[in-house]
Amino acid sequence: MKRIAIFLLLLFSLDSVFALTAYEMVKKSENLVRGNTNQGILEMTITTPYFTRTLKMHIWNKGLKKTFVRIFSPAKEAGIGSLKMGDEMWNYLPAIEKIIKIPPSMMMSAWMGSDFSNDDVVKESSIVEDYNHRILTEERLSGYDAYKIECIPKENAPVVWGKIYFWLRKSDHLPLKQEYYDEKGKLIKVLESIEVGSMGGRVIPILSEMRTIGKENSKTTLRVREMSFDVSIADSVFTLRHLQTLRAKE
Amino acid sequence: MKTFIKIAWRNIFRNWRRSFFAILAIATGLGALIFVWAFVDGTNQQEVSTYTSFLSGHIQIHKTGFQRELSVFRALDNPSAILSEIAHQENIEEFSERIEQRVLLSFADKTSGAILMGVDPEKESKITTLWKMMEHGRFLGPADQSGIVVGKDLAERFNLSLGSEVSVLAQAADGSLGAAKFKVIGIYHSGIDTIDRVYVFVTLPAAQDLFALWGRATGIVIKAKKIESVTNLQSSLSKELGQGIEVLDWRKIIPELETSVILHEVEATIILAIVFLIVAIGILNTVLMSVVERVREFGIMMALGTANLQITMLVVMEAFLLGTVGVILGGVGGLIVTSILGKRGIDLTSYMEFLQASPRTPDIIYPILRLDRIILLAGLVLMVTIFASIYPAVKAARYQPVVAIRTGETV
Repeated sequence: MKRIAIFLLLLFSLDSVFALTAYEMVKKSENLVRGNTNQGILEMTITTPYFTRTLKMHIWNKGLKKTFVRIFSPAKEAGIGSLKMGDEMWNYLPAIEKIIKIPPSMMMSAWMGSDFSNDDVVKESSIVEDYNHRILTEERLSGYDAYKIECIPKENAPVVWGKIYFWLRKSDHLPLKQEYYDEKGKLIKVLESIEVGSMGGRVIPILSEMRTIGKENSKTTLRVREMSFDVSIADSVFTLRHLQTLRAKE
Repeated sequence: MKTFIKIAWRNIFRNWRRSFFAILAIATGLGALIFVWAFVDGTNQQEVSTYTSFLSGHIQIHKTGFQRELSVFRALDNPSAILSEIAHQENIEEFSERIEQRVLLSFADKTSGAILMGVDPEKESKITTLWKMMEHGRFLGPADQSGIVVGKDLAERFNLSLGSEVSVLAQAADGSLGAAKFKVIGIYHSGIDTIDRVYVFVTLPAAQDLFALWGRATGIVIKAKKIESVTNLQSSLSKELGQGIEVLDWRKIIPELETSVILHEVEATIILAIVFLIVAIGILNTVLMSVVERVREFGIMMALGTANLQITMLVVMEAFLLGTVGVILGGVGGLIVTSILGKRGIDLTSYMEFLQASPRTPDIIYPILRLDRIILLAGLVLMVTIFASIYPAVKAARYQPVVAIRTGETV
């Protein structure tokens, strides 16, 4: 009897040995919001002291290396597209019928004038693979129990950030907040999940806000209007040909 | 006092030859200075007229801070309101709305920065002269919504010819990316490479579309009726339009031009200083000689009771009278000669080939007379004359009467 009791005790305590590492938590978080593939409709609202503008776009993601975005609203910018294949990124401007390749040096510049960079939109760098992770503390954030994870870039990682703090929900590893710091340790950008909801069978952030520190009157919000996960997407979507060809879209 | 003037006057004519040449020196000095300054003023005015006629106009109106960065977010909100507000100004000959912005120009595999000007072709042609300097094709007309006019240097760099299709990318006022294609309909050549390399022109409506600035503009360019009235016009407009609007005259828009104008004036000032020096030395010599000759005479005057100060004043008075006559003659003479040349112009074409400092420097210079300058110069020459006579005058007053009378010499 005693043996069984000890065995059962050990069994239950083994639970903590199988607790997830920081790396695994971040990986789960990314998988939650990306899946193997995802496609949907996003609404990006850019607010600055000079203008407020809302872009509506279709987005397709396949794995970590293929991303396609097509803007369909407003009319002036409808037809503009962004494509990422492997390590390369292109934009297409229908007004001048030109494909523009985005060099690595421009990956940190704003995408379409927003607070999101090209890198943010196409996920050129991977928060999972390019960083070393470590749990710092457990905190309460926005009413949820969260882990605060410190992400430091690996050597030779193609990453501009000095470090990233990643808050994710304890229960399901949903990303709550990310703080981006430069190499000198100065806070540059903050991405926060404002609203969480159900989309495509998952609970994900449906409204996020990106703010640049120093530009207090500007922000960009991203709202997920539609999203489906792990539906198969043809590889032909992620081609320069598709980028240049405007198919009839919703 | 009256007696002194009488005595001084008569003293001058005692040696009329010497007095004549002294007066001649003063007159020639003043006359030459009047001419030199009129030449410089004429050159400057023509240079300013010519250079401001290329592109900058005499005065530009923007939202405060626009000139520094050309930011599309600092466009004028209501240019037509400003236009009606300033329409009453008499000194304005012509005004026109413009959009001026930095853009990215792209053709084939070349991409480079340029400054795009969205202009009203009809109004613009009354203010600036680039439209007359077409080397190929023609300037914009109101119907050319997708036409672009580029400078010769830029066309060469991109390898553009008439009909080439260029892409223009820019930051639009609503935050979006402005993108449009234009066809080259004209190539201009002003000879000023900072213009030819950089500025490209489209119609104002085309620019308003590109930058999402419908109904708006980034600036208003003004041509004044007379170049001399630009400064007054600028301050008048500035007061009228108040804070939030910057009214800039050509000095702020093309500071290099103002530097050139100042440089010419500095050169003229150096000549001025030299002429003063020479006239001063000449007068000093003349007056000194006349004083040394009259040692005995001064000695007797002093023995008879004339005060030292009176002797000094007498000598200075003589110089003053010489100066006055010289200045009057020099002033009139300089005025006449300069006006004749002012009408006819000074033709420097044969020299200009070697001196081609910049393109379109006028080959014929028309000197300009300015009353304020002439009065100032006359006054200064007179003062120099008086100043030069002080040393001999004081010296005369120091003579010892007894020694002076007996020996005709100073101690």
